[in-house]
Amino acid sequence: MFTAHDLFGFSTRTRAALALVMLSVVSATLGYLWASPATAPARVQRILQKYTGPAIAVGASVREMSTSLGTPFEFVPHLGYVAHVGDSTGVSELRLLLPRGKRAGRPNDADRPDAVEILTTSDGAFNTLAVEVSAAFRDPPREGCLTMSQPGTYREVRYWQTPLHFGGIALTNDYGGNGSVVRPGMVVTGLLAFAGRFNGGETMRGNYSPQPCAVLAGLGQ
Amino acid sequence: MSAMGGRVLALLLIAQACTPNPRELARAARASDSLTIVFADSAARRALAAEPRAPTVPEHTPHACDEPATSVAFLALWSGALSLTLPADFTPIDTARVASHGIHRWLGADKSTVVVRRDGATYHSGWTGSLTSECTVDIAGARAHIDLADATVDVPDYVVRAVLERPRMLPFVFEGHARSVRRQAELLRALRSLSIAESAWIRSVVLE
Repeated sequence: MFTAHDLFGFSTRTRAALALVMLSVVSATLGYLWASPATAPARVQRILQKYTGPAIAVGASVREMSTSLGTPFEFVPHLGYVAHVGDSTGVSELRLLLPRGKRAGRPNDADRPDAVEILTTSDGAFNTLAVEVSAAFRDPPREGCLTMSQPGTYREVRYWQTPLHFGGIALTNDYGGNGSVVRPGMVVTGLLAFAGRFNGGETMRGNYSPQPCAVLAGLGQ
Repeated sequence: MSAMGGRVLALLLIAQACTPNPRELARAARASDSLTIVFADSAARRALAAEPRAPTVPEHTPHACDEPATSVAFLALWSGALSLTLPADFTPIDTARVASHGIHRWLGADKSTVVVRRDGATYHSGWTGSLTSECTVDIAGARAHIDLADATVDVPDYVVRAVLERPRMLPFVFEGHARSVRRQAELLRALRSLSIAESAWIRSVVLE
């Protein structure tokens, strides 16, 4: 009988080493694919695109989005890309957030964000967005808080995920009990659309805690 | 190495790919945090710039009833039957001939002017602009109606105008054009120092 062993004449030790190498390659490939940016579910993209237009999508390349939007993006090391776009208040910021392992390098048009965030100071933005996202997910949000670098300053986080955790939406806003405010009455509201499972600070790109800001601020609950 | 060892290594590789790097995450958090602060500051500045402005009446505009205190040096001046104190940089610009017609004029270093003359003019006249305040007081033994106005068009022109009246006598008019609100306050104070000799009033009796 003619066998592979006869053909290559590998010893047991060599076969074990080859198996190890193959397993390493396969597992690394699987790990890379698992961690690669994915496209967010249609429900998430729809909500995002209602405010950004169809040019912007989680998982699309920076080149595609920059061309379609007609606005240049500025590369921000360790985070991703930023563009300033207009809204009813005249101020709005669009952020393309790169996944771990992609954001420390150099800007590349082929980069694909795994999350897109828009910030606005439009009056009543948070309520409008919260109603819309709640209706789309038919689910109450989970709450958390981002601790900012300025002492005593927090941003509230409320997020929704699709049932199989393929993506979701997080809303952020300035915590009402912050020690200092930039301008009385002005609230910075953010909408962050992400692909994949919500992963706390990694998804939010911040110092995230799954507790209400009131607890972190020492007011208890 | 057994197949079990290979599986363990594979799991370790997967775990390494999935484990967050705290240092990298901290850098991302700092970058996001900084951007949010810059965005909030920028939005606040735009909101402030878009706020409706207060009416353009300058701050500290004097009121016609005020007798404002000023910090500049005043000098007592005489011109015929008139005397008043004016800021020290004012000088008379009348020739003797003009003065003989009852017109007394002074010019300040900043081109502000003061004129005192006998005139039958009425209140609220003598300039084109908005009246900012008015008041009636006693000055130099006469009933004086004071108007303060902003007649600024191309150059600053803040008006102090007063009509000083005595029954059956031709009124005296004090008219100052100031180049600044501060100067307007100085002219208002000068007005309060105006003194008119009794003989001048007698000469201006209206013959009925």
